[in-house]
Amino acid sequence: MATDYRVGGVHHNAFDIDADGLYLYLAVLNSSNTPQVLKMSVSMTVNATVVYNPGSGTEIGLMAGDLSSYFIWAAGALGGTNKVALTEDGGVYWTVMDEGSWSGVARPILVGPGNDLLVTTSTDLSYRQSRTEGDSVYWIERTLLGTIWSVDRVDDNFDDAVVGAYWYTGDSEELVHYSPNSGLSWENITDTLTPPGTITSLIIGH
Amino acid sequence: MATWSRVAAFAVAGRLRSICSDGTNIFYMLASGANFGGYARAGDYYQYEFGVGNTKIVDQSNMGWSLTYGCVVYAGDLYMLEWVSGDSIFGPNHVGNVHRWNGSVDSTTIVRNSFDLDYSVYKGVGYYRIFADDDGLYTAVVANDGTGEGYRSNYYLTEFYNGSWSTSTFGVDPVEGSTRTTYQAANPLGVFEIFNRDSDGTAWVARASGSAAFSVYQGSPPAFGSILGSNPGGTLHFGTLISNSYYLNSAMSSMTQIPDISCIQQYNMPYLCGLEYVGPGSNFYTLSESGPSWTLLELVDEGAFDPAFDVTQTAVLRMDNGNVYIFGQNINTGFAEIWLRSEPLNPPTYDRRLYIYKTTDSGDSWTVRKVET
Repeated sequence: MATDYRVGGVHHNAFDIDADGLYLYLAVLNSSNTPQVLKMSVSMTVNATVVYNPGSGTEIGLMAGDLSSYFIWAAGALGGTNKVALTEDGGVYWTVMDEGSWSGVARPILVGPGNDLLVTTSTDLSYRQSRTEGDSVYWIERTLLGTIWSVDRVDDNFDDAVVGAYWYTGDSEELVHYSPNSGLSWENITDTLTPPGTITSLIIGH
Repeated sequence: MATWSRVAAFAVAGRLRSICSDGTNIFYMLASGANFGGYARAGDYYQYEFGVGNTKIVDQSNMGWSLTYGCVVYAGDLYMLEWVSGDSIFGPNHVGNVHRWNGSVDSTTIVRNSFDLDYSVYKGVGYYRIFADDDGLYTAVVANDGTGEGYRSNYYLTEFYNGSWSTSTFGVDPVEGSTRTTYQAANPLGVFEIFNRDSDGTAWVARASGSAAFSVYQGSPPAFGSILGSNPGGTLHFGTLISNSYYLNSAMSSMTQIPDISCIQQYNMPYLCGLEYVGPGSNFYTLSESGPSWTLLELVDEGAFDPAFDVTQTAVLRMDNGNVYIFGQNINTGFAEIWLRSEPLNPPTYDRRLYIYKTTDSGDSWTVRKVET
């Protein structure tokens, strides 16, 4: 039976294509407003299949790893308290990867370089970056001044260079910031442009 | 009390016929019928974008010869149904084409042509309409064998779904002794056609569907005059020759008189609206989404509409944001006019469906698929 879907709420991470370019993954809300991840062949000749169903939640986004086609990260507000989940086999099994203590929604997210690094912000005005050691995942938390709408990395040195599009709700000032040290400090680089409104998405040329 | 104001007026060639919208702020209007060598000239499609204010012809040269077109916005693109009437130039065959315009260039692409009609039996007046729902794009064509009273109608319902076309054909035989009319309406629940018998006022409404079945309703209102439209639930609205209006429910089991609604909004809008022409002004009605009960909102101010405003060529559209527009043509000036209600009506709560677009040639062509499992 056909089900109607809409974008999962984390618009900057609404969909992605795996590293091999074979499958399209979509972060959606189904007709019951439940987050799900759908998988569809890029040929678009057959219907999608549901590969992740956390059961409840309000928002979802995703991003594919760039080394292995089997790594897909999903983030948002999933299954009640969970924020981040990862599959390492193309969607068959999913593992909850966050500590479950976040108060907001994990968005936006940025993966890479590699499959096992994730940066995400949260609507609780914090910024988090994952670290993996063996099978364990650790989170580094930074405090932000406002909401981040979009993040991208400048180059492959993910740890040292992340750019975020900020929107400071206090004074409605739209800013683009650059971090050379994993979010420990941020530099305002907005002086060369004057955004006409809220910055909702940015892309860095690679 | 809401008021109405004219927000646009511009010259068009011929009569205003088809009006459709993407539900946001872009409208398409077809004007056709300007004579050219004794034939109706191909129509000109005009695009009007609120907030921008410009009008432009988005299609003209590619269209054939026809008196009637239809248009619908489906998955973000404008689709137009062209019907090439048979004549001494083109021969007896009647060919339908579907054009798609995606807004990138000032021309269109024929995405479907030469419908699978049985030309050998086609002699009568054809009927054709294009419409869409959340699952697909449809064209409905009615042809008949033209043998006289009580002739058989052959229906061709063509569906465009996930990139491919399929056609269902089936026939409907009118009730014996009835006078066949040419009033049809189409929506996803099927193609409606009225068979009329004026002598005692008994009328039959036939509905054909994609399952190749049809059903008939026998009613007793005054003689039917026209079908006004049908809503997403399949309720059929029509007028009679003595200016009453009725609706037939989707189960084709009961018929009720309603205000004399002159026009019905197209299917791809979420709500129905209607106008009742009462002289220099018009009563503005809305139809609730849940059922066929009409509510009179207000009399459209007499000063709003020029007495020459041809309400019979009018469309009422309610947009996603609740704005309500009336489209019509001033028969004195020939100008197309767009009127806006000062107070939006409740915007719909439905969700737009999710589609995936893919290009493999840097955007020259796109493949679209609705996301479903």
